[in-house]
Amino acid sequence: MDETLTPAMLEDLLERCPDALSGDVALPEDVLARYPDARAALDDLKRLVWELETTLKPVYPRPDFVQELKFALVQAPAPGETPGPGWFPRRSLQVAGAVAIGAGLWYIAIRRRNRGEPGASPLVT
Amino acid sequence: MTVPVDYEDEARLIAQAKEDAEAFGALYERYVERIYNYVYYRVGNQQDAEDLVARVFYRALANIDNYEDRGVPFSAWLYRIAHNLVANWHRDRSRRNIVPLDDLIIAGAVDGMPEAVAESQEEHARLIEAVRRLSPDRQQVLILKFVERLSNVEIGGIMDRTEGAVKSLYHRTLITLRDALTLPAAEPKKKRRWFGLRRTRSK
Repeated sequence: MDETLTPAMLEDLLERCPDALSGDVALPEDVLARYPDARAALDDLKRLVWELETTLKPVYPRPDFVQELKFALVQAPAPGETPGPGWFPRRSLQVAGAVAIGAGLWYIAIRRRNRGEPGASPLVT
Repeated sequence: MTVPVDYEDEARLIAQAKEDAEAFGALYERYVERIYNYVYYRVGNQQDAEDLVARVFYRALANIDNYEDRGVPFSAWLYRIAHNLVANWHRDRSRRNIVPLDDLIIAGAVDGMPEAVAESQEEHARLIEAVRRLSPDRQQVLILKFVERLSNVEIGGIMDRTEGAVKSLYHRTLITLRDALTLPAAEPKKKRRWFGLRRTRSK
């Protein structure tokens, strides 16, 4: 007896035929007999996969952004590192981490200010 | 866009990065594009993506001493930081009721004849809109699979799921997306037309 293919059944079908989306895999005869619309449903999904492949393409960050952020990260005190001789005793990693986060927030605030976003940070006027 | 990871080299770099910011810079260069891709597709515009990517790497730098190699790649650790920060960003956005600009629509444009570009962009936009209405986990699996080109095993490492669970999530996501794009209930005011998809739920 023909049955309408529900999403749950379609999922079961994909579990049963894991390669059905990646190539021209013949569906089992009992499946086709039971669900006449299974082939059409799989064709839909194959088409969707193709559209996802052509739409979700890699994007690349701006080179300036990549370089600026690297510079800012490398300048930030690393955990366990002193910013300068005699200024900052070797302290816990948490302190160094807090400094790094502070530097990050400062960097983001400066970027926002440069973009002209008003009130981006109370620290930057 | 992914390259095979030399785990010994990576472990050495991570150990160095705990003491030396220059070494962290090398790790940063290795992963910045991948993390940017992930964040960009989750937030939909360049400015917020850049801010969030900066936060990801500052947080990673601040916490790298807590990173322990337990069979989970360093990239998975970065993706989890990014995932959490993006979730916070969406939470803040929804509180302020701000809809981000969809630079993605432009990014998704394909080369082609001029008359085909507008229609193509519209189709890309509709697909991206539908993707962005999915739950965060479903968006994540699509981005990691299609943008980052990761295998189910690699995606499982990032999402802390088994390979089989990733596969199931992927299948459910495709079916949901197909229904969102083809069933009239998803957009009742417009006549649905999306690529060549047909309704397969016959009555």
